[in-house]
Amino acid sequence: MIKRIFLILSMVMVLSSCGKVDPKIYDQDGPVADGDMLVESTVGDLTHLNPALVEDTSSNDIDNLIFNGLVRYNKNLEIEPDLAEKWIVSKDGKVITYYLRKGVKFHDGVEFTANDVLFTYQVFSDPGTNTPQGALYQDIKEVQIVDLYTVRVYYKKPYAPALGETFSAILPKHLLEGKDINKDEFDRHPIGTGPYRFVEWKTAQKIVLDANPDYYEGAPHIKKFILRIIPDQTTEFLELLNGGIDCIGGFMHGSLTAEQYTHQTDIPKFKNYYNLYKTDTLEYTYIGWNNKNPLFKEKKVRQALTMAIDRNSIIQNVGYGLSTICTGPFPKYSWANNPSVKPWPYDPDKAKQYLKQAGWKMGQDGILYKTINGKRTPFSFTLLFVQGSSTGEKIATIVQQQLKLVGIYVELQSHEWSTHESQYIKPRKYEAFIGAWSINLDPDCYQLFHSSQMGENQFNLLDFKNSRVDELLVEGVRTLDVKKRQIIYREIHKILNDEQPCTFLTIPSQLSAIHKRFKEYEMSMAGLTHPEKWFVPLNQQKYNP
Amino acid sequence: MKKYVLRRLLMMIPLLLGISLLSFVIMQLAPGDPVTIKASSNSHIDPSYIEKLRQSYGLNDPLMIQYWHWLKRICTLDFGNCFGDNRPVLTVIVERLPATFLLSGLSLLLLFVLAVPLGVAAAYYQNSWLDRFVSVFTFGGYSIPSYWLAFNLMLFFCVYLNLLPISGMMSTEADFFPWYQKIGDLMSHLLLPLFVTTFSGLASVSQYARSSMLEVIRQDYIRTARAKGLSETQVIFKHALRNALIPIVTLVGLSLPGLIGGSFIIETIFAWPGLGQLGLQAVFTHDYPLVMGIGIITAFLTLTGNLLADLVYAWLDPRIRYD
Repeated sequence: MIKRIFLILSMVMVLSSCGKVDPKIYDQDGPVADGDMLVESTVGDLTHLNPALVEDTSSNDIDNLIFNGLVRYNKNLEIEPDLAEKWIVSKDGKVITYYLRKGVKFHDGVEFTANDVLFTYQVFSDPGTNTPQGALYQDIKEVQIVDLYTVRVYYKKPYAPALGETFSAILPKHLLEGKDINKDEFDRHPIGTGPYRFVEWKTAQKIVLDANPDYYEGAPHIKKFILRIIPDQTTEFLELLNGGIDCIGGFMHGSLTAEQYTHQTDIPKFKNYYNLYKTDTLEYTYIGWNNKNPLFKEKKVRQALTMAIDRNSIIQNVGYGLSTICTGPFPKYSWANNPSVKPWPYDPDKAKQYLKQAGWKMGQDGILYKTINGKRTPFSFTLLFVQGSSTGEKIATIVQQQLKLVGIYVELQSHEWSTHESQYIKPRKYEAFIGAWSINLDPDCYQLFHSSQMGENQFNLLDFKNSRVDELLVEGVRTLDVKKRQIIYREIHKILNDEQPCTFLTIPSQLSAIHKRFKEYEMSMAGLTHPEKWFVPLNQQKYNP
Repeated sequence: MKKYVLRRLLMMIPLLLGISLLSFVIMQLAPGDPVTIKASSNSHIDPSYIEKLRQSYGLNDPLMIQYWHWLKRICTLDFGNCFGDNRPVLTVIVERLPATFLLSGLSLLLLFVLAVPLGVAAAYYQNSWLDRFVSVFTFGGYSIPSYWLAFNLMLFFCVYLNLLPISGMMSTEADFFPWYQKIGDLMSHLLLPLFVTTFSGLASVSQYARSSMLEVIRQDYIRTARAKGLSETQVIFKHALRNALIPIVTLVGLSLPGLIGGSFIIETIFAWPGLGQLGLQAVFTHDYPLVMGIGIITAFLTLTGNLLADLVYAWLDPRIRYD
C-alpha cells in the first residue's frame, strides 16, 4: 500500500514537472496575439457591482473593466474622451454638452444612447438610491437630451470636479428602468459597455470576466480575466510564487507588503517570472496640528515642527524606505502639483531658531516655555494615533524622540479607531494626531482646507483658516479651464506648504507584481489603462480558455 | 421520553432568547459602528449618504427597539439583509454552507476516526512508548499554531514540491475540467486545510478516549470478563470499548456547532469560502444582521447538539432514563 502511494506521488511529481517552460522565454517580446487569461487577486471580498451602489475600491476596480464613463483620466491624470467623443463647456461654465460616440453597444447588444446618460443621472441623483456619489450630482439642474447622441448638462453653478467624476459609469436604461436600484439582481450581474463582460461571481471565491469582442476600442487580446478573492496577504504571495495567480496590484488596488517587496522577492521563483513595480498610491499621511490651539497658532511654530521632524528617517524606519515625502494634498504627477514646492528640510537647528523667534525660550528642564495669556506654558502636547496601527505607533515614537531634541515634550496616546474619530478628532478635542487621507484624481480639496468645513461632521479637521486659500478653493471648483485651474491649485499648494497646517508626511506606495508574459501595459497613477491592449505572445501563453 | 424531548425543546426558546439578547448587547458594546467606518479616510463621501444608510439600517432607533424589530422578524424566519451587500442573511449563510460542511464535516469525521483508536490504544498500552508517542504527537498538533503550520505546509508542498494547490476550493481553470477531474481538484485543495484542522483537534479527543478507556478497563466487570476466559479481543472490543465510548458521544454532540462555525483562521488563510471566514468579516465590518444570524444558528445547533447527545446517551446506556 505504502509503495503504491509513493508510486502515485512520484507520478504526480513527474507530471507536474513536465510542461514547465524555461522562464527565460518570458523576457522576450513577440508579435501581438490573442488568447491567454489573467488571474489577479484581491484581499477584500466585493460587495456591489452596480456602479451606483459601489463604495469599496475592489468593486470599483472591477467596474472599471465592465463599464465606461463619458470621460476618463489618462495616465497623466488629464481628462480624455471615453463614451463621449468630445465635450464643450459653455463660457460661464454652467453647461456641458457631450457628443456621444455612435455604435457603442452594451454587452447584451443594445446600443448606448443619450437616454442611458439621462437615466444614469436620474439614478445617481435620486435620493432613494443608496449611493455614496449623490453629492456630485446635486449641483446639476437638468440633463437634457438634444438628440440620440448629444446630451446637455445644466449646472446651477459651475463645478469643475464634475467633469471628471460624474458619469463615470453609464448604466443601461433598458435593463434597469422601473426597477428597485438598491435591490435589483443587476448588482450581481452587471452589464455595461466596457472591455470585459461579466460572466460569473462566486462569492468569496472569484469573479470571471470575458473579453468583449465588440468593445469600441477593439476586442481585448487577453480572453479572460479572473479575480480571485484571497483574504490573506501571505497566502496571496505564496500563490504568486506557485503560479496560482499572475498578478497583484494590476487592475486592482492590491499591493505586496513592504516586507515581501524588500525581502522575499529576491529569489529565482519570483525574479524569473514577475516584474515588480512601485507606484504612488492616492493617499497621504500627515500629522495634524490643531490650528486653533495656542501652541500651533503661529505659522513659524508649525514650520519649525516640520523642520524638526526627519521624514526621511520615518520613511526608512517605518516603511522600508518605500514611501516618498509628501508636500501637499496633490498626487506628485498631477498637473495641480506645484513643482517649485520643495519639501521642508530636516533642520533641527533652524527649527530651534524659528521657535525662538516665535517667543519660546529653553527652560532649565530642557523644555521650551512661553508666556501665553499671562501663564508660563511649557511646549508639551499629546499626539494621538489609532490603536493597533503599528505604523501609527512607530511614526508617533519617532516624532516624540525628534521633537524632544528641540525642546518639545510629546506625550503619546492611542485609542481604538472609532473612539479616536468620534471622541477626539471629529469634535476637534485634540492637540495633534497622525492621520491619513485618500485623495481623488481631481485636485479639489475644498472639504479639507476651506474654513467653512469646520463642523463636527465636516473634514477640515485641522480647523485651518486662510482667507486666500478659501478664495482659491472656491475659484478652483468654479473654473473649468484646466490651465487656469493649474495656476489656482499650484498657488494653493504653495500656500499650504508655507502654512504647514499639518506636517505632510509620506505618500505610501503600491507595490505590484505582474507576470512577465504580459506585454504592452502601462503602470500609472490612474492605474493600469487600456486593458484591451495587453497581450501575451503565442509562445508564452499559459492558459487556453 | 416524548415528554422529555418536548420539555427540552420548549426550554430552548427562553435559552435562545437569552442568547440572542446577550449577543445583541455585546455586539453593540463593541466600539465602532457599520457606517462611520465607510467615511473614515475619504473626504469625498457625502455625509448625507452616511445618514441615509444609518436610517435604512435602522441604527437611529433606540437599542431595545432595534432588538425588538429583529426579534419580530426572526419569528417569521426573516433574518434581515446584510449591511454589506444587501442580500438576505439566510441566502448568504446558505451559500457558504457546502464549503464549511465539506471541510468541517470531513475534519470532524476524521478527527473521531483517528483520535478514538489512538486514545484507546494509548490507554491499553498505558505508559508504553506508544502511549508516549500518541501524547507527544497529539499535543504537538494542539500546541503548534495552526497558521504557522498552514504556511509551512504551503511552502513545502506547494511552492517547493509543487504538489498541491495553495488556496481556494477549485483551480481557476476547473470550469473546463471533466467531472472526475473536478473531484480530484477539489480533493487536492481540501487536503492541507483538512490536515491542519484535524491535526490541531486530535489532542483533546484522543485524551478523552484514553482516560475514559483507562477508567473502564479498571472496572470489575472487565476482570470478570477476563476471568470468564474471554479472548482479549472480546474483552476489549465488546466489553470495554462500548462502555468507554459513551462519554465520546457527548463530545460529538458538543462538536456539532463547530460544523457550522468552521475555523475562521484556517478558512481565511486557505481562502476557503466558508462560514468561518464570513463570520469573521461580519464582525470586522459590524454587519449586525449577519453576526446575529450566524450567532443564532450556531446557538441553535449547540442546543440541538446537546439534546441529541443526551438522547443518544440514554439509548446507548440503559441505566440512564429520562422519564
